[in-house]
Amino acid sequence: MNYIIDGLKEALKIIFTMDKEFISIVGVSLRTSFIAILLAGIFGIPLGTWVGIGKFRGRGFMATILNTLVSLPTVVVGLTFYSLLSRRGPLGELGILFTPAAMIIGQFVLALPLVAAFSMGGVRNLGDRPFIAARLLGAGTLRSSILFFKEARFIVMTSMIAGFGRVFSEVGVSMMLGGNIRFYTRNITTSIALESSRGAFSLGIALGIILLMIAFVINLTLYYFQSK
Amino acid sequence: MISSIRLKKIVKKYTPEGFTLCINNLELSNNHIHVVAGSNGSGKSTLLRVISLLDSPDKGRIMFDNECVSPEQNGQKRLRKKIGFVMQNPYLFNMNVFENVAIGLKIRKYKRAETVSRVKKILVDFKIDHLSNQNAHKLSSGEVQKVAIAQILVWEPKVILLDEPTANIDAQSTLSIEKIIKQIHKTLDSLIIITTHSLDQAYRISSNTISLREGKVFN
Repeated sequence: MNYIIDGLKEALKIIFTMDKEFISIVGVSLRTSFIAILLAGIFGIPLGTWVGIGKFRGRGFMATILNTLVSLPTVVVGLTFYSLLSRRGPLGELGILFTPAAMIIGQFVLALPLVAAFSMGGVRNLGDRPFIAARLLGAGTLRSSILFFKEARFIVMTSMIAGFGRVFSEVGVSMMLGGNIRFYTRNITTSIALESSRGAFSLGIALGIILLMIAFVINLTLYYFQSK
Repeated sequence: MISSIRLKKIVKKYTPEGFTLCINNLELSNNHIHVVAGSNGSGKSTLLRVISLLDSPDKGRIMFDNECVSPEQNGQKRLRKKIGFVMQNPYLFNMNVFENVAIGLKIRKYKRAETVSRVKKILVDFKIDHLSNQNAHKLSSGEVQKVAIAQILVWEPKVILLDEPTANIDAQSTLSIEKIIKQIHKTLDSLIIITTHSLDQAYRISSNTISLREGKVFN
């Protein structure tokens, strides 16, 4: 029991002294996850909206594919992109394996179906009424789309936060594509895995606390905007 | 100003086996307030959707004065900006009543001061000025209907289409909205088409009643 308490004390010390390695780890996590989720939002929200309210043949099939990809295992994504980006792979010449860029690509692929599926469900409930209402007021396609997405802002926000949660807490992609390189690609989850396997719990616990705190702050922000 | 709308050989079918709107020749002018009367499923809403250019007819053409609009033609955007259409179950945006009513004016690039004065005036006319800061998603169905009508009338469209505009409104408010519609017809010279179930309402406001039955104009 003592080692847990000692670990907790040490964790708080690491947080409050702003340990250099700790800052680097948190920074890598935040940077890669934010870029990945931003890209997933740019592509996933229009995709989800299109599948959600578009009128085309094969819409149901597309929705099923998206819903299936939501539970895509992280190690499968990691392995697939590892084989593509490794020196012998078709994209090996890019030389980005074990870099933050590779982590971002993997996390983007993980988040994309989740963001799209969440948007699809939400937008389907909202329907095309805001778009039609804007058209009836004389708005063109662009303005109607802007008004539509303003109406769907909570759906968009929820999708992005769900996607962020997925990429921020995943370990498979980061480990396989980032390589867990100290001060470069080591992020919160790969670091927790490494530290606990070495029996060094304090940094792991400190990072665990930060992981929880960031998740809490994000959900609090969402709650604030939804209750406004 | 749009002084007349003429529908020529219009056919609109939603599903192969479903209902078809079929209008051989119908001319509507801004000399009258036109009321389209008919039972459920007679095609009243479809007719308004076609006139509003929200839906294109499968066949036929619509003439706005001398300007012809057919499914193959572009240039509907400019005309659509002159047509105000309040649907049977209107959608208001998730913002306050004032902002909702101001949207149409913003789209038409009215100056801020004029927008504010027009919106304030119409909210008073409709006796909903006390709802100005309230979120539109928290209104009763009657209030939604009033805001939706105000949202259209505030920018003084040349063609006003109202699909059962007083369906969810109490008797007193119905009369006051009818009064506003008559007043707008007098002052703006807009071409107004209203659908209704109520024959009483048709008698009260209409100077030209059109009966629709199974998608066809019935005399």
